[in-house]
Formats: sequence, C-alpha cells, structure tokens
Amino acid sequence: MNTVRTFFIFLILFLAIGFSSNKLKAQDPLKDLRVIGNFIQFNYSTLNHFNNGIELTDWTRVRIRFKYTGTNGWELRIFALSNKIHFEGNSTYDIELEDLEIIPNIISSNDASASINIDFTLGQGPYNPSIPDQVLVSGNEGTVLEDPPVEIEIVITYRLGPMMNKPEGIYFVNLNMLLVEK
Amino acid sequence: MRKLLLGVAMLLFAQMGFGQAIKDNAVIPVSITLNSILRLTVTSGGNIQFVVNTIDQYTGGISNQDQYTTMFTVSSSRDFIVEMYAEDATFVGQETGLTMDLDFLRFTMAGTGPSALAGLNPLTAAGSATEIVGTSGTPADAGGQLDYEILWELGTEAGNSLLEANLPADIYITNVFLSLVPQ
Repeated sequence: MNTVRTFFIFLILFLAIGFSSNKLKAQDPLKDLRVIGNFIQFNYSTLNHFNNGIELTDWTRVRIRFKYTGTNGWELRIFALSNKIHFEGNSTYDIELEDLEIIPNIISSNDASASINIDFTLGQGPYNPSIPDQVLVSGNEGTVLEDPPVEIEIVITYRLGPMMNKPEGIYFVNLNMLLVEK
Repeated sequence: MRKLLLGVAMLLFAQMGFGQAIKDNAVIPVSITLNSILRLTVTSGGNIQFVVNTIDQYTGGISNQDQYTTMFTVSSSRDFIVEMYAEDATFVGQETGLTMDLDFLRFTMAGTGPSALAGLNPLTAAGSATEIVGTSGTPADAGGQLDYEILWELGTEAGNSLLEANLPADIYITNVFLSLVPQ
C-alpha cells in the first residue's frame, strides 16, 4: 500500500514537473531552415534539352528563420557530398559539379544586409569556413533576446547545360544546405 | 534512496521528452535523367524503282536523278554511324526467281549532315554492311535534323553493264535497311 502511494506521488510529481518544463522550454527554434522543392530532377528528353540544357526556375524555396546572439552575421552554404555528379555506369561520364549552376534570389528578408554571393561555385563539402565559395547567401544582422528572429526567404534556380553525346541513364549528387553563424 | 533515484530519473526523462527539434541543414538530392534520342527518318525516296527499257540504259545504265534519290534525317543525342545493307544477297526476280548482283546498284552520299561516306559505292548485303555515315572509329557528331541523301544509280559501272549480264526481263527486288547505331 505504501509502495502504491509512493508511486502515485512520483507520478503526480513527474507530470507536474514535466508540463512545467514544457512551458519553460517552449521558445522559437534557434535555427529553422525549411526547404520546399528539395528534390531536383533534370529530365533530358528532347533534342532541345540536349542542345541547350535545362533550367529549373525558382525550383527550390528556402525559408530561414533563426535567432542568435552573435555579432558576425550568418551564412547559408551549399556544398555537394561528392566530387562529381556521378553516372550510374562508367565514371568516365561523370559530370563536373561546376556544370550545375545554382542561382539564388532573395524574395523577402528582414535583414537588410542579406546578399547573394556572386562568386558561388558548387564544390565538394564538408563545411569549411575558409572556403567562401560555399556561401550562397549571407547577412550581417542578428537578433538578441526578445527581438523578432531574422527571417529570409530565397528561391533557387538550377541550370544544367547541354548533354550531347552523354550516355543515357541516371546521374546523381546530393547537395547539403547549411545555415551557420559566421 | 532508490525511490529518490527513481524520481530523479523520471524528472530527467521528462526534461528530454519535451525537447524541440532544431533544424539548420537540409539535403537536396539532384537527379539527372538522360533519355537517349536516336531517330532516323526517311523523308523521301522510300521506294526506288529503276525501269530499264532502252539499249542505252542496258549499256550505259541509269544515272541518278531526283526520283532515284533517298533522303533521310538523323537526330541523335550520341555520336553515331549509319549502316546500310540489302536484305538479300542479290536482287531476286519476282517472275523467274533469277538473281541480279547487288553491285549493279551503286550510290553516292550527299546532304548537309556530317561525315557522309565519300565516292561511288556499291550496295552490299547484310553480312558486309556499308557505313554510309561515320565509321566505327570516327563516328559522326551528335546533333539534330542532320540531312543526308543517297543518290542511287543503276548499271553505270564501265565493263559491268546490264547488257553484259544478259539478265532476262523481270522485276528485281530487294529491301535496303538503314541502321542508326550510337557509338
């Protein structure tokens, strides 16, 4: 009987502290990066595609929302997880990463300093702060305590060039998008 | 003491249970699918008929004219060759069943497409197909709407006239295949 009573006491204690803990910890996420259109599919099926390439306009929409207390600003980086866009067959036919053009456009931002890196070139990861070419978009503003979070919305256009005389099949690469403080 | 430890463990568990997921990276898979394009279309001259009815034609043959020209286009996303060969080893007479050598029929390649075979060449049979555009070692460059012409002529080779072959009157037929081969 004593054991049962003790169990219920701890159960009530558990629930009470648990829910109060929830209230205490409820807050805006420190970093929130949401991506719509996060699968990119280039389908070459006409001579026009093979001759002129394919452009996927505003294919990916990225919404960034974050708080941080630093003063150096933030960066959105993109890098590939392999050194080539790999062909499913003979690696002779792999496609160079730089052949895939990634063109961002900021459509809304409450960070006036947000800017696009015109020197962005797709390269292999991992994240390396000493490689500025990995940076797609960056800004200098932060947010402190109760200030509203920094919010930026970006659309990304992808462009891939002519594929004449490339063998048919699947070519594949994974891109990693990373939000970091400078 | 055990109860106290149990309580602390439960509290810790409660703290972990209400943690929020924070996401600051995303993986974007990129896939490129190439659907091969190989298209050969005969646009004109899909049925060539030579009618030999004068002695001059038996002795000197019939030179190429527009009605003896086969036109075709190639669209290919890969470098390619075009092979040509006859279905039969000889022309076969429809009435008599007798035969006529394939090499009475000769052709010259023309058109704006690249890497066409040069010179005057005889029609060959399946076992020895003729590469009329590009070669296995040097294929034609990939491209779209590449125009080629086959200028046919019959019995024009000196010293190999239809008259000398002494062929009986008949309708001699074979089918000619064009084969587009990616390299």
